[in-house]
Amino acid sequence: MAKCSICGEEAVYCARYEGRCYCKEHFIRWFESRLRKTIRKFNFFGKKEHIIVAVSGGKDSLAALYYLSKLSKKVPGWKITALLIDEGIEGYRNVTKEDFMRIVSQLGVDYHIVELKREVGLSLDEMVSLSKERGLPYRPCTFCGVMRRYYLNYYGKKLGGTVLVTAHNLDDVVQTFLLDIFRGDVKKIPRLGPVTGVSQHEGFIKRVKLFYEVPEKEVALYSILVGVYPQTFVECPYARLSPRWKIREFLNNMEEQYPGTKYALLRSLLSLVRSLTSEERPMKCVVCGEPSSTPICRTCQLKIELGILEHEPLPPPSQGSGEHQRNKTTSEGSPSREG
Amino acid sequence: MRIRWRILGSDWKEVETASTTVEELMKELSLSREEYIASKGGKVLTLDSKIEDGDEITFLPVVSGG
Ligand SMILES: [Zn+2]
Ligand SMILES: [Zn+2]
Repeated sequence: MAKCSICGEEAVYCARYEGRCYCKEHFIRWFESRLRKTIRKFNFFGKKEHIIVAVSGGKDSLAALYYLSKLSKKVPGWKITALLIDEGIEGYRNVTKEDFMRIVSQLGVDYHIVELKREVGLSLDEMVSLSKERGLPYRPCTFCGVMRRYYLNYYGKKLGGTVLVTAHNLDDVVQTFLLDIFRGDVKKIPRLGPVTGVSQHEGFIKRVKLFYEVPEKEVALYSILVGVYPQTFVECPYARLSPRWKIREFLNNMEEQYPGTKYALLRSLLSLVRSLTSEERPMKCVVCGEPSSTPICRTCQLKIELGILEHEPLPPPSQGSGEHQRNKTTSEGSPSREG
Repeated sequence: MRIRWRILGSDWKEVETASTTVEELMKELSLSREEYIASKGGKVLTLDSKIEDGDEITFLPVVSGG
């Protein structure tokens, strides 16, 4: 049986990529000390912050909330607020919300819940079926991803936050990295840096990825050991429909055969992020006024295509053909840049 | 020997196995060790933990709900 490399007690985890094992107590210490290193290295927080933690109800975001609320007890200038986006996914979100409420009251942190149904007029389930009816080419995760991002930023600012924490872990980040490459979406790679939103546009709240340097499995173990692992396990019913799922399996196979693969990818990503200057020059969405890389932001575009937001199509830029260029603003992920 | 196992959120299953460690058992059940954490009676097991006849093992998914 594996023993803790530090105290010799029974181990709960062996990090194969560094050849060491840890007991419960030393795992928690090791994990938290690495988080502190990440926080310092990438300058996530200052002495005075209103930290908004984006919580999904899954184990990663509950672990983030647990850790930051613990850390905030030692930093007098910090205030923590948990922000939950309730997409309205039947049999999933209504279940994970219970875990959210349990942890939030256990930790005694302030929280705020945003319901997509109230904001948009439709729940995610309703958007998915309306999208099908209208023959739109989008997967559920497109609506979810775009709108979550939008409302987290919007409410992060509205609640008076100075920084928004997401629980993205090493696995999430390198999965998205590969997805961007496979799709030829290289311009999106700067979004995968540890800190985003800072200097891009006044309309963006600073966003930091707390578990940037920690594998998902270790976040899961941490959440189990500190008691915030969700009691009811429900997987998002849309998760396996996403191409991310294939990448996930591929990366896990690689990691099993070649421990350290995920960290190697992260190193590649970090040096790319440093050398790529973000091409994205955000402007204000002409419909809602939120920051956007296209004249109409993705959230408003999706709403227009779903037929739940009335807006005149924009005149085509200096082509003057008078033809409606509806598709120009609506084709998936290909905003016409530089004309 | 016979053991009972489940993935959290699914039903218990029984299996007749010759595996002696968690690692061997996970291989036999085609469960990726990147995807699941094994536990027994609320205690986390490592890959080299021994399994015994009559064990009840729960695999906790690493994947987040969302
Ligand atoms: Zn120890
Ligand atoms: Zn907009």
